[in-house]
Amino acid sequence: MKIKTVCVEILGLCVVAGVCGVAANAINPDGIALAKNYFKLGASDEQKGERTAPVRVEEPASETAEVSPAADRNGQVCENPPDKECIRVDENGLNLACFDFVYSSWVAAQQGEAAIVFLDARDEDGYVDDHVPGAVLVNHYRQAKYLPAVMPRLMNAETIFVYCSGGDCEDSRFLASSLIYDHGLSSDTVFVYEGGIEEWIAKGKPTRKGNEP
Amino acid sequence: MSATGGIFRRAHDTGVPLLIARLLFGAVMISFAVPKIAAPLEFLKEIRNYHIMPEEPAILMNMVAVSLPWVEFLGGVALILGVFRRGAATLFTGLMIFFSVALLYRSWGIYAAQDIAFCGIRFDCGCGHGPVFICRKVLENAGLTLLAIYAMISRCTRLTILSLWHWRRETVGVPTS
Repeated sequence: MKIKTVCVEILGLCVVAGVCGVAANAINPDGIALAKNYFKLGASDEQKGERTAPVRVEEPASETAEVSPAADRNGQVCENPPDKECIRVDENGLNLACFDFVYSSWVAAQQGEAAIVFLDARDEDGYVDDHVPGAVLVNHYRQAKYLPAVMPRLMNAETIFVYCSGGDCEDSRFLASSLIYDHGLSSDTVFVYEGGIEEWIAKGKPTRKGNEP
Repeated sequence: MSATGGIFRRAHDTGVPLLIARLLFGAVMISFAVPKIAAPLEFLKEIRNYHIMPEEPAILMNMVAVSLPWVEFLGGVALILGVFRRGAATLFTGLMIFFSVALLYRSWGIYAAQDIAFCGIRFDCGCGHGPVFICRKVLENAGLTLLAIYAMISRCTRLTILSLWHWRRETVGVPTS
């Protein structure tokens, strides 16, 4: 058999596979948006042209600083006051919050003292297994399904914490980035809880099972 | 030709070894493809974890995530039926070698970052069957690659859907008007 014939067969398979793939994806309720970048961190080139992303300058470490700026703003005193490293800004301009700040904010939210929203960026299974009490499920990859219902709360929230599993999990960063750059929320209000649900559980904090926040 | 070689040649000429290779490889490819077709998003995440494709433009990686499972599915069906056999087998040989290298590359990254034995590395390789031990997966891929190469180089045309159709025509006869 000639090489040309083999090449034609390969090409034919690839073309038919491409057509079938696009068609099947279009009718699949769990399909993906072909043009969407699900792994975007920070503003895209187009967005950079449209708006100026907030420029963040990390405050120089001060020997006298006892409480982080965000903790100051929310008027919260942590169970264990966060050190200077508690809240930091990553290379994409996202606020990364440590456990102490997250937990003290969660306590405040439970007492109704502040408009604080917790978002669980994991999938449905992870959320049902265990989530931070009060956290709302917003699977980053299924934003169209979950975000509209919670968007009014997010618009009025003083602080939004986004978490996922912790460790290597990046979904919380993707969701936080999307909230800021795609949905126009202020980068000052959105925080990524780096430790995620794994750290929350490891610290012995309460969790909730099931679909209800 | 030696006696052993003659036995292999006769067995090969029956078409049965190639049929077994085609059925086995085709079935494995279809079993890899179906979970990915059902959940393209999960496959997309696994592709990204390899860090071998650019994230921009996004449509490139997304198209791979929706198309590649169908290449596996249609190629698997083609192998089982025996149509486009050499094209499908050649494509799969290339893909298996590429995936195995990518798998080793990703495993090496994990091995370098974590203090664990290489064969103790276990992750979801995006193959469609969840987390796997890498050493086992590499051996599995090597076996599948050999099957694909055999299906690629074999000149046997027996026991395919076309040969069955021709045989039926010759046996039953074509009705004449």
